Amino acid sequence: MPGPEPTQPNPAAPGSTRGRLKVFLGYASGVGKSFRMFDEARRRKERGQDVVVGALQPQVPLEIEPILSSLEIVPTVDIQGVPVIDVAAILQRHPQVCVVDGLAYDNPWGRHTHRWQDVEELLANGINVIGSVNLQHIDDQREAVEKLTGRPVSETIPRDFLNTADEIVVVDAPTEGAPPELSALREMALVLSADVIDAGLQRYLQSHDIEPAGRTRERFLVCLTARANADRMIASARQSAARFHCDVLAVYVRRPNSSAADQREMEENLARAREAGARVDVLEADDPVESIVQYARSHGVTQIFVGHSMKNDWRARLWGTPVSRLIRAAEGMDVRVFPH
Amino acid sequence: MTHATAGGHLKIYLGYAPGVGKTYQMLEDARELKARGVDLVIGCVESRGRSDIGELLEGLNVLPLRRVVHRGGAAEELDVDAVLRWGPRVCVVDELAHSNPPGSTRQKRWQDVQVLLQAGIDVLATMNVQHLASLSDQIWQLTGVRVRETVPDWLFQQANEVVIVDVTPRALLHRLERGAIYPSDRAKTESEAFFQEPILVALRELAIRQTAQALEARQSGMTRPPESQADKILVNITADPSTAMLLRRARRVADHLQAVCIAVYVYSKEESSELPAEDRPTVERHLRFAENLHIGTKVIHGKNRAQTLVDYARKNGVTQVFLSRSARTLRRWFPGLDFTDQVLQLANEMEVTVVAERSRHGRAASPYPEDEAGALMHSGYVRITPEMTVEEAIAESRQQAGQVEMIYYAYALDESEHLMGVVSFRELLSAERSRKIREVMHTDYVFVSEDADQETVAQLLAKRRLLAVPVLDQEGRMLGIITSADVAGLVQQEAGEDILKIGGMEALDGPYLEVTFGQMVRKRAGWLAILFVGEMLTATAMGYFSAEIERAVVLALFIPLIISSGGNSGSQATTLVIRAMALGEIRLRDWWRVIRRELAAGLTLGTILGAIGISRIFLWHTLRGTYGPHYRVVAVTIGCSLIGVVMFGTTAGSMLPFLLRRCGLDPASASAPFVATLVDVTGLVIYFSVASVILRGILL
Repeated sequence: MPGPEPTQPNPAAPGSTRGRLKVFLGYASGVGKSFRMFDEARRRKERGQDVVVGALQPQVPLEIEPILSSLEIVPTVDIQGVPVIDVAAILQRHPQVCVVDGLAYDNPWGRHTHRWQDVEELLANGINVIGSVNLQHIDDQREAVEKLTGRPVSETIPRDFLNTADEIVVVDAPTEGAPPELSALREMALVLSADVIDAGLQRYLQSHDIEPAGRTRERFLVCLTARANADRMIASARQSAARFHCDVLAVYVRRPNSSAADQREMEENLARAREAGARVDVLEADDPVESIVQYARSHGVTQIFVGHSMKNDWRARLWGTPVSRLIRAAEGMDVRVFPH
Repeated sequence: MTHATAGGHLKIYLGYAPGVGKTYQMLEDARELKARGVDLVIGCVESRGRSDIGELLEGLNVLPLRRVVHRGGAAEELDVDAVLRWGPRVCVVDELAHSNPPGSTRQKRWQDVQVLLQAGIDVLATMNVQHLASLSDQIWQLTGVRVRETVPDWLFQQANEVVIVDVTPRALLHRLERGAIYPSDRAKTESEAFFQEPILVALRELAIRQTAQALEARQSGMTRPPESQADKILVNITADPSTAMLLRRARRVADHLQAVCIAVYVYSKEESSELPAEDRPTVERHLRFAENLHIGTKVIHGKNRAQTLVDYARKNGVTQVFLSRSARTLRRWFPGLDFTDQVLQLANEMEVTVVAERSRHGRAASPYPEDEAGALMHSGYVRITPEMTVEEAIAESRQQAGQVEMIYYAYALDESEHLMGVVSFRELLSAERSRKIREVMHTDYVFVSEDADQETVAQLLAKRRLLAVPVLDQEGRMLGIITSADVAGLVQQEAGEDILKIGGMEALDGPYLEVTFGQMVRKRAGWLAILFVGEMLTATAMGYFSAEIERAVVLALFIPLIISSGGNSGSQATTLVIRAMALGEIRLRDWWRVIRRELAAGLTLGTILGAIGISRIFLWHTLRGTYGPHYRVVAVTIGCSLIGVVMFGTTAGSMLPFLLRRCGLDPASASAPFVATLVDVTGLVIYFSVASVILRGILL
């Protein structure tokens, strides 16, 4: 009897009986992610929790075997040589905690096409899941990892599913003296887990209706105009984004009276910003300064990028330019002004 | 990437809260090294009574600590000389951010570690992410805690290895509940601000990002661009307190971009050939702070500050300028003349970053945590318990006298360090020997919190004429004391002055009943005389309208009514606006909103008063016929005048404080009588002008 297949991971609603998902994230095999996970399973069992193992890796590392002997295992079903979690058996057994070593498997046949969907069903039925996954198996990281390692990856789990994790543990081992690719992977794993933590934090703050007092994460907003040096701003935002590991947003304020030439120029700038991976929004307003500041505030922006004002006549010298108005209005945010 | 030294390697175990297991993991690694035959010593590890740490230490060479006696008591510290004498391959040091007690050769433990590294000894060390100097503002914003013990970022970056010691916040909170972290209550409250789930989550995120950035820096360090191609950041130092935050921020950005960073203070040459005297201490402090962050400093001068700064930047190949927002200046009317704007206009080929002031729930950050009360406090005070007898307390005090700096008061604490009461030594010595301290101590003592600013403490000590004040945490536990000697020189104006000025007086120099009669008269007479002279203008105005008064004497009957209504509404508006300003509800830029509100309020209030006035004229006329045949027109005149006068009163009264603040004066001196005088004179003019328009051809 096929269960309802969740197509989209749905984060726990407060007060629901959804199980908690804890993920151990590794950045290479052999960092000890499985050991850390089973060690936790053992400790939980010792503390009196009802723990079962729902899936094992094909080859069980030697150090894990003694732990496994103390844990109850619900064996996977072998379908065309692929181990598939026996969801029905686990649901019937209904333990408090289910351990899933390796979240990124595709099921050849069965209730769900992906193992993460099996896990989703367990969670939805109030079973806590402890799972492990390696960096290269997260869909939005795969390409970058493949580039570094040169090894193709076929099975992935959606990033959105990872974001719903209630807890994430990066299994870290220092890479001093290791090949540079390994450091790069370690860095990616750290940044990814920080982002997952941030997603959880934002969820927590939202569900508890708390206004965050400070920001743990930088978010840039690039203000595009027809004449601004969009390339330089976007390039700089991108470079900083890579260094600071932060988000880049871009906005364009459409004025009611902009000319056709400006409009064309603008479309090109917007296209370039999108290409660079920025999320672009178009605002319609009479007063660009006001609408930019409002947008920045509602999107948790920490730094606004804007081009130098072209006006330099006596009026600008006396009354200030739109840029200086923006600087005054954008309290609590840094404003970075770029040359043309 | 330059490393701490050619010699020792530094490995940092980075955590995000006490109890994540930094020390544990470090010691496990130490044991492994030891097992491999590495000559390793434990320089300093705080086991905090934890048995698991104690077990890990077994079998390792634990060097004895150096015992330091200082005014606050005794402490045990890393003995650098002993480590150097041993000369091991690796030394283990807990808590990099720890401050050594006063009188030590080096102030900070990380400086001790530097000595070890320079001697070619590898160091394993622990720290928490909140102790990173440049994160200070962000941590404060998140937690409300100002971390005082910090490790400079450059030391962190020079670490050869950074390992994050990670445990999920939930697991950490479980450990805390199980009592696996802190043996004592005392230490628990110190970290209470951190031990809330969302804050732990945020701190953990910061720690992970920081570790990722350390890695990033190491990787890009391998392909670092030559210095000539690197970004060059210039930080503009001013006397403003926000400079400290600006420097921390610039340091962070420079580290990310691997840019060169310099800090420049510009002063206008016309001011003087030296640093402007009033700004000198603050500016010098900022310059010192910059040096501590490894930012080069430069002091330059020129006729126009913005031009000088931009010229300097251009000559030195600066690519980015960092400024704080201009302070609220008198130039608000002409924002284009602001320093920030001028720099923007002049430096249009550079990147200019205007850095925001960080605030938490509307409160700005204190630029240097050492400005808070906690930084002044010391723990050298006499501790007794409420249950002691006076005799025992005296004996106890005698015993402690050698270790404490100041003996004016003894503090009675319960077993968990709550302050139960205070007793002065004069009281103690004159009390009956057999009485309990509980019976003689004062329980209504004055205290301050750890994050109170130093000026507040100074004011409190001065106002209450105290020699010392205890510092308590939020739970009422004693943290230390601050003596009047510690804050000498910080005493400024006393509170309460603002309120006195609203009444049109100068502050009296002491409590009301203690000021001599002569002094009081002198202070009050000056203001009264000024107001009196101002009020004389009403005579001048009435002289101008004497012809109208002669022709329609009935108008004179209403003069006091009209002008006092104007004066009253004006003082009311002034008081409201000053109060709102003092509470920070409105700022200078809100003047336009205020004036609109007050115009509307004036119109409404004037209409109400006018209606009452008109009714009264109609009523009296019906009853007694006092106001002659044209009473209807007179009534309309009075009604219209009241509307005009009250509207003028509310607008003038509300705008005067803004005007004074714009001129750099204290709005509280826009005293209500002052407004009243102003409105009296103009009220007369309005009244007679309205009268001459309405009554022309009828009475006039």
